Amino acid sequence: METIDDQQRKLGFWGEGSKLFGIFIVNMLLTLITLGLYYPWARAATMKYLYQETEFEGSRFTFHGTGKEMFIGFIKALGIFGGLYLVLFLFMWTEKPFFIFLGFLIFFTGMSLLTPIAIHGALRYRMSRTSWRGIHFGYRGKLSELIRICIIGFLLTMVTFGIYGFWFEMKVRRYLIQNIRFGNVQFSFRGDGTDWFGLNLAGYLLSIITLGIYSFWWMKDRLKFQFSNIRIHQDDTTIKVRTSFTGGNYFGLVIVNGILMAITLGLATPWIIIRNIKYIFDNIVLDGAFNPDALEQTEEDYRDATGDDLMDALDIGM
Amino acid sequence: MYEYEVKYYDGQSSRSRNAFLLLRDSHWQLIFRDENGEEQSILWEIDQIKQNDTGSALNTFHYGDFPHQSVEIEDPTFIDDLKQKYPGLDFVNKNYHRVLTGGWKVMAGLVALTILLFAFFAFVIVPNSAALIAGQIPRSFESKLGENGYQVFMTTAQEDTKRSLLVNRFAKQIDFDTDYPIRITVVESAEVNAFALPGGRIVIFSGLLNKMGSAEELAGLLGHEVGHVKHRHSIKAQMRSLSTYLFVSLLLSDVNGVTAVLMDNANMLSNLSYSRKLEHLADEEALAVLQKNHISQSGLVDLFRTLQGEAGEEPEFLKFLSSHPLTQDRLDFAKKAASKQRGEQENLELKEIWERIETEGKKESELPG
Repeated sequence: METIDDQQRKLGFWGEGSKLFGIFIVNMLLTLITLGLYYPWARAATMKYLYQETEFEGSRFTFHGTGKEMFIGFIKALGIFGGLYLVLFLFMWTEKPFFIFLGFLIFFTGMSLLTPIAIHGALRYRMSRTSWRGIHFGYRGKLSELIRICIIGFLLTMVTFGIYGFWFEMKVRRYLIQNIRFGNVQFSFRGDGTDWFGLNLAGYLLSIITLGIYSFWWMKDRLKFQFSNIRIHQDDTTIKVRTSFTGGNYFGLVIVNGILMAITLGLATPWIIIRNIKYIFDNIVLDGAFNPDALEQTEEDYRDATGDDLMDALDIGM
Repeated sequence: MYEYEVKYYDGQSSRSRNAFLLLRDSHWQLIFRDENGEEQSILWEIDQIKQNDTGSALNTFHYGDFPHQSVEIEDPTFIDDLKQKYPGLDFVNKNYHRVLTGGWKVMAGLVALTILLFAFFAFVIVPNSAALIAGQIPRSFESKLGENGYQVFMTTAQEDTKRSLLVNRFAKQIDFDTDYPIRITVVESAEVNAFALPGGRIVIFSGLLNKMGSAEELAGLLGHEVGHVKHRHSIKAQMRSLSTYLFVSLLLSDVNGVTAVLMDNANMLSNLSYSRKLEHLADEEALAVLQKNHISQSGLVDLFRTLQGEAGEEPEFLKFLSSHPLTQDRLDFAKKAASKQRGEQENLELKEIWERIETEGKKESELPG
């Protein structure tokens, strides 16, 4: 196949607010009736719909996760949380200072390890459950390496009163993205902590000076940084991600979302989710000689949703 | 009939193939041309085809185990055709599909049902089960809770020890029909108020004590506060409001500020109405205690007159927002009960202690400063 250098491709999104609204209402109703037990199935239904409406090169994405997998994951996640609290209470119950100290130590160590464990598990699950043209994504990162990055990053962030956090965040992002596989396609992230720190510092200061008006441009810069630093590698070619986010179009998105939310008392949530996804997809272009027909199935199946449920419980967004 | 143009993916590579799908009785047949231009035919066994119900206009079906083969079909009649061709089989979740494609009437009905159910859970089921659970909380825990609250309160309050002693002696003369240890503290304050803590502690502000005019009135007040203690009102009200708060914020965590404020207000109104109900129950308990001890129920009437004089006229619309029922309503309720009361006797011991409480109060107020 001939390769042309100025190939540009976009992600399309066909989701409709009214359909997502229907899914949300059914989800909420069934979750209420089942006293919450339906929640994992509700999550799966939402994801399935959003993936199904996402199109690339004339083909849709598929989410293969099931409510059952996520329910089992949810039970395991609950067990992990419960276990940690149990240890804490048992040690506190001894009323001996040494054991109480030990209990807290185990509890907080466990809790802080939970974040990398959750991210690792969730990414493996999400990636394995995502496919396009029958080819599954995969995440090949090592948990031990992610934990090492997190412990060092956490300690340095504490010592530097949070400033190192920007470098830490980028380090984690680079590690996660470079371990994503999509058939024989690989990804990488080029952003570094210095740029990320500078961008946020400038954004923060200018937002204060302009009484918040600049914050739209700051948020635009953050979005742009996160997407435009992604590179996609297929064989010897590199595909860049170009963005067209502007402070103006971001401002428009947020203001309209805010008005919709306020006048509908939150009922517009599904339409706002659709608007947000469309906004992202409309403003990113994959630039380079990508061959959509040349992907081979390389990744293995992974169905353990524990990490994904831990993420949901810890409220970490991806 | 039953022929569709689809996109076929073999699960090995991302090559997209235009294929024809034919629905046969026992299988789906896929026909396409491979890279060499040769016609290929693939059969999918019906029972290996994965159910699909995303709600999207475009449908994807997967076949077999990982790595799946799949087809994408955009034909809008496909789902209905499937139902006709294979009446006994579920390629889609029928009820789910029907609901999602049911149009605005079905949707409006579902929204109404969801809101009703949500409100029913948030304001009936959750708070009442919480109050029920609060009733089961062990007494030791309850006393601990009350004791903590009491200690915190007393760090900034000044106790009137003499009158505390006398009021406790006064309370000892009355049978409150409870095994909670009732301990009363009189606190120096101009405020005209009193409150009960879980576990049996009762605090009376000297401002209220100074305004009271008879032993019966004090007995009425104690009856009311002990009623709160006996029926664990404070712990029930707290559990109730906390549980609703947790339930609502858990379910609506992603919803915006305006709705959150509305729900907060709804919760507050629901709590206020519950708290008025509890006040009424405590009033009934006070009447019962007075009756049991042959003390005149007009004491409670006098208490409400004292409170009314203090609060002044209450406008009618405030009834909606008040945590206590309007004093006038409570006054009328107590008057009605008192007018029917029989068998009340003057209790000389109570009278004597009351007179000493009064004397102490006068001494206090005469003190300079």
